[in-house]
Amino acid sequence: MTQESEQTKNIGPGERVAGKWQGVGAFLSRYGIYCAFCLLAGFLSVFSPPFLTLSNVENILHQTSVNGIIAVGMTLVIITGGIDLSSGSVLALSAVVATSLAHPGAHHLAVPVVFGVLVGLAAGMLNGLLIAKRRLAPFIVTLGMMTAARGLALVYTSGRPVIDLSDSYNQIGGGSAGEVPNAALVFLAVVLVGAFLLHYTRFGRHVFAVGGNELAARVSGIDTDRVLIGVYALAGALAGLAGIVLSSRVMSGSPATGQGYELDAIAAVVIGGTSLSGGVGSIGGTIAGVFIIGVMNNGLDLLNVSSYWQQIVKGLIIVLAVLLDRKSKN
Amino acid sequence: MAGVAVMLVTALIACKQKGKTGHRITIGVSYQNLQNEFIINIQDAMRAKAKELGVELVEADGQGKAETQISQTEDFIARGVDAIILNPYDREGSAHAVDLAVRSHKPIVVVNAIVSNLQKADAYVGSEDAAAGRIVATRIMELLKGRGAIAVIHGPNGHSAEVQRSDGIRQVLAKFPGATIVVEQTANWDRAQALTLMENWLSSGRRIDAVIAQNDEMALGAYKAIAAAGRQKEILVIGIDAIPDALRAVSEGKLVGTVFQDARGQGALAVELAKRLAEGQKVVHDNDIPFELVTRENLAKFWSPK
Repeated sequence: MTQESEQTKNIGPGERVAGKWQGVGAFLSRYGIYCAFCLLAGFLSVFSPPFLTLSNVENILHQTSVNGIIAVGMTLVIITGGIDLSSGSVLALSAVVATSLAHPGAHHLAVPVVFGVLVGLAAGMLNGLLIAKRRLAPFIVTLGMMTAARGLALVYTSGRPVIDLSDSYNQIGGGSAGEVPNAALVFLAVVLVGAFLLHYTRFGRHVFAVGGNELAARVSGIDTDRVLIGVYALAGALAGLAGIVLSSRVMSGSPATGQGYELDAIAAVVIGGTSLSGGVGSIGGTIAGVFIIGVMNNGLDLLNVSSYWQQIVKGLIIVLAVLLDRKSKN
Repeated sequence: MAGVAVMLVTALIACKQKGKTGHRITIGVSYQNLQNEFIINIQDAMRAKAKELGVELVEADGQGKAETQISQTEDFIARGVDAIILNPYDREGSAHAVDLAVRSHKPIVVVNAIVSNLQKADAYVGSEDAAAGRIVATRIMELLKGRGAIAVIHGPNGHSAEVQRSDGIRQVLAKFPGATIVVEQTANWDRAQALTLMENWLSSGRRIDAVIAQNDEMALGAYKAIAAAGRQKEILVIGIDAIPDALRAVSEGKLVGTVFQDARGQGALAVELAKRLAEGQKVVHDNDIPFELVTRENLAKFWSPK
């Protein structure tokens, strides 16, 4: 106590003011994203009463689950300083493979789910191997995978969507356990596993280390190859899972689906405070980013704002988020 | 030197061979987007007809981009095809391809969708999209007895079919003062987008009596949202294209109708006309293949349960 009062006595008035604002700045940089979300939700509740209804909240959960699942995987990838542009195409590839195994009476429900995730996992592992072992830039590798996986999906289905799916498959992404959509439950499970992995395991610490300084991480004994392959494989598997959730919700496995989904995931991750240069980030921030985008889209639809303006708003939010993030770092 | 001589001789022999067997007509085709099931139906029809007539098709996928279709047309002209078939994506953007063909004196047939300079092309085969819009709007007006709140789900803005179908829908609804379009937006031909859009519209509490979706994929997406909200008895849904999934939905009473576009007829006739033009014959410019409304009543003509 005495030390503090001595300090305030010795520093000039300007510096005291800076100290007070420093506190606010620190609070904003940590929790600003959640404040922004609350502000947005509050604004929409006032201007569009149907926003706060239970059915609308269920809709938001449905609509954010797919992006959310992809975004969790994307968070780990971006923390390592990389990027994954192939999520949308891998989603489509997994969706067409899974749905082709989900016709009524064909196989047990586990078959399409397992194969869908495996396809995503395989694509992700290939990404990771090329990035880690061959030292190729993540942007290029995943760009190649983005195009190739899309092509593979089109070849697999000859360009036509897979239809005629079983009711039990529909339940995965389209059903609810009481009032809670199944898709949201899958999303929640992914979030819990992702958060645990990233923030409470040695692997998670290694992910941050590789992102902070890959050379230093390797020199200090971390198997950086294993970490990189791991995060890309996980991102691929999650894109596959997202494909199953999406295709089961719309009851169609379309090779043309998922276009641009990787950008939505990257937007969510960036808005959530994860830096594209790697080394910092959190699952919690990503989730806030996912919901900010989802709530914004939902709210603007309720207000009947055209989808073109919605895109403009989304772009502005992304830039704003990065600006705030940069400011708080300084 | 010897190598060059061998190449020249081989080329000469090859040319002579060609002369002996006669020139096989080559037609360059630029599709608007082969990720669209309907366009794939047109492709199948074109390939079948080409095989039947003994002409060769050089195919290219415009991938939903007008500028890609322009470069593809330039490539066709450069490699010396005998005729070009254009399935335009964008009514304004893809129009330049027609100009290029005319300038290079290559016959060009426009199929399935129109372009702003259609009269400059040698022939057009298609179904008037405005008619499809009129058909679905008329059907809804019949079922709603001329009054109600209508929601319209659009295709991508500026897409040839979207513009025309919107016109057709508006033309018919204008005749019914008791009907209003309460909300409309694009879902870009995509089922998932339409599902999300419909969900949010339902949440908004607006009264909606019918949904006119400009294609079946979006109609099916909208229906999913309506059924999930338990309001399928209150809201009518109609689409366009008559894809298999939609025909089944009509049979189950989920969609109140769809519109059959004869992809096979369009594709086959386009190839025929292109071949005749390549051979120097004159053809009729406007070849309209009418749309047909599909409802539960006449469903058997288009579909049978497997």
